[in-house]
Amino acid sequence: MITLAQFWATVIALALIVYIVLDGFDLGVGMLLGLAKDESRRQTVLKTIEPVWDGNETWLIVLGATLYAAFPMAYAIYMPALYVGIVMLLLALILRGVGIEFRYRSVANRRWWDRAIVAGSFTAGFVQGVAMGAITQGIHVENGQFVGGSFDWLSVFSVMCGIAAVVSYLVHGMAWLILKTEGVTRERAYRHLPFVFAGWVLFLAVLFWWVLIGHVDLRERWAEPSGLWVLPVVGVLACVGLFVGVRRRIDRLPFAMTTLMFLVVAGKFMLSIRPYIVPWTVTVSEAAAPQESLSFLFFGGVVIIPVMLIYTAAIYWIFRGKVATD
Amino acid sequence: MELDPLLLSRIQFAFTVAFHIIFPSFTIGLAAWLAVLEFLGWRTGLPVYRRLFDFWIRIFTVSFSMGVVSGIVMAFQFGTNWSVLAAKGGAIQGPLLGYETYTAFLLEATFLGVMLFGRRRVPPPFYLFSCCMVAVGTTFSAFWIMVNNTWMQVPIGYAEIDGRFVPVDWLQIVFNDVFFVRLFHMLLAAYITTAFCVAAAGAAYTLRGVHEQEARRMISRALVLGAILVPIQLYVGHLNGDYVHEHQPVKFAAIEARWHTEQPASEVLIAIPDPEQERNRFALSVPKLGSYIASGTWDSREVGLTDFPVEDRPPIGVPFFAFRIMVGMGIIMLLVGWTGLYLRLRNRLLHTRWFQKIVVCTFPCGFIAVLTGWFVAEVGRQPWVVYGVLRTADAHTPSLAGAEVAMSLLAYVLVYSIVFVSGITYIWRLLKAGPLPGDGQRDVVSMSTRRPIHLDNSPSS
Repeated sequence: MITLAQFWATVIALALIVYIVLDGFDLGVGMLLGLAKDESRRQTVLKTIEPVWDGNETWLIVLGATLYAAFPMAYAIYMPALYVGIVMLLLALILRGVGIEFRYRSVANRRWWDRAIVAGSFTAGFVQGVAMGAITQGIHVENGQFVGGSFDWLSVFSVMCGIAAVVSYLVHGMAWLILKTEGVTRERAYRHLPFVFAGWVLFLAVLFWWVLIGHVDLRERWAEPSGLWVLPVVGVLACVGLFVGVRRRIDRLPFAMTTLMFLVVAGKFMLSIRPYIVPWTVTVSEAAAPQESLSFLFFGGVVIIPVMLIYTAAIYWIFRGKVATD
Repeated sequence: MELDPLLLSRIQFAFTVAFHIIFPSFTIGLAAWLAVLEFLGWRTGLPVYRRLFDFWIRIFTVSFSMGVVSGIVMAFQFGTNWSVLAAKGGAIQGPLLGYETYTAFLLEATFLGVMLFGRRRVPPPFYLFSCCMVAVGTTFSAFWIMVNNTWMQVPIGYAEIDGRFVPVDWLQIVFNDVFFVRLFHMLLAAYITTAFCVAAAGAAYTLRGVHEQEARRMISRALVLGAILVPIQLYVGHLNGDYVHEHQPVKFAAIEARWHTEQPASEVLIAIPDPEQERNRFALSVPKLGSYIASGTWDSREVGLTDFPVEDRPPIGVPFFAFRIMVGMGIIMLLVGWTGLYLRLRNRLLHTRWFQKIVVCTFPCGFIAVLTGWFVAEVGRQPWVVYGVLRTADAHTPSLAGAEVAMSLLAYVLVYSIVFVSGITYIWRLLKAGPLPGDGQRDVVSMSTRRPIHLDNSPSS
């Protein structure tokens, strides 16, 4: 029997995973846009994300709003703690979003909007990774409020996490292009995917080692017997699956495997910070909104959230298959 | 130079929220208009409705995207710059924003994909359903945000425990009389704003003698809608005034620039309020009318600003002038709408050129009314962020330094300016171009204004 607070913490974890898996690939595709050689290729690439990017991005709001709703104290700590990063993220998402819409409005400015898409995608991915790293290192909290400095979130570790996130979204985006395109675009993605993926794994290994040698204090938590070891094993299987998929040209496999990797990494992160919702001082139960709020949200949420997942899945089913290509 | 983070955060919030509200004011009505067009096209089979749909959805998309991205900023800004409000009020405001996200944001964002790209992939009834879901989503958004803002104006159904506002009665928080009045006021405002934009576009085409079939329907339907809705809106606006009168007396006094309690109260039509001397200069006022407007009787006692300590009074200038501009816009739209209806009934609408020129000029009226109305609501609520309970100055994020907010404010202004100028330019170009030759036959929304238009699946370059 779990408490309402634990239920909502789980929903937040779910929203985070859904967001990363969904917006991850369209941010990755946005980053890759600059590599497309001509307008026809660019349109092919963009067509893979045009019907879905807006909904994908909205899962970030699902994440943020649920945090605000169920754990307002944590929301009121995270937002100021990550202030500069969040502003950067929001502006990056704005430029990425309007870039996708506005590029068709003007031939003269199209390249600028494409640059906005690329720059916005890179920045958004980077900031998200930095935020994860900063959170892992812990937020400076006193009396339930953030008391640290404007740039606490910026450190060697968090920047490495940022780079890792960018690389992970690139891989995920390439895997998506493999799934959704044919011809030259798909071939190029197949050719480069193993290298970029290897880069991601390398970064993860570096981060892992960074933690193990004590720079970030997760060792004690990872030492606890908790079955967390399952995750790295699944991760290794995902790597194998990905290379098999590339080798045998099985279009669906790379994306499935990169998704699996995200589940592994995100899962590892979230299970590592339990029971804290703001590492390393504020627990889920401490930050929880009063029961009246949690239950009010639950009353509708328990029906609506599955509906949200269903129509999200439906949109992908509606737009299944390869895009018309160059 | 000493950078005051509180002042900068206020400016930033005012700037970002004013920017944001412009777009939902347009897209709520447009989404409904598109759903209606799709329905009419499906039912009647007349090609003109598909052409209208394919035309207006281009404009909708540009506006909607600006609304979405500016809205995301708002969802996070409560936390970044007003963390004390988020912590204290989060138990109530959080779930309200949560429901808005669940029932509106994700719904409209997801089904928009079908609207833009899915015509050939889904059966026509499902396509219409998707259009309706987008319209429903925008409406739900208005619903929840008005619940949220109403609670800030008239906080009820809560208790203060350990410095937090804890919900006690959610039914009261959500379904109260003040909320219903304000919700309808906002929804009507949105539909009216869109109606006058559609009418103006129709009038512009009629004047140029182009797109005759589409223009006829645009100007006629939109003006008739305006003629019906504006008087209702004026009445609902009056009901809004009633709630302010009852629950926010100091705001009411500010809107009226009533410095001293009067019985009977006069109505100040125009003046220059002087807060230093606590009086109005160059005032043009009508005796007894103030009482009548406030209470329906000619001799009621109306409270003045001096009845309240200085620190509890809002700024006077903004609510006073903004209110008069808003009402002025309403009266203009009423006159234009009724004239349009009259001409329509006489079948003179399409031939009365002087009137069409006026209609073209009224396109910004709705936007001005919405903005000034919100200035009244939000500036008038000061110094409170939750009326009577939490001051805005006390709600600010304590850890924020002036430099941080200065940076974010500058960044928002820069990016928003680029986005806004571009977006408005593109909408303007789309409106000028009007419906395109391929409209009515394409399967995917054409994003281009250039000709020739390819009739296949890809947007032309």
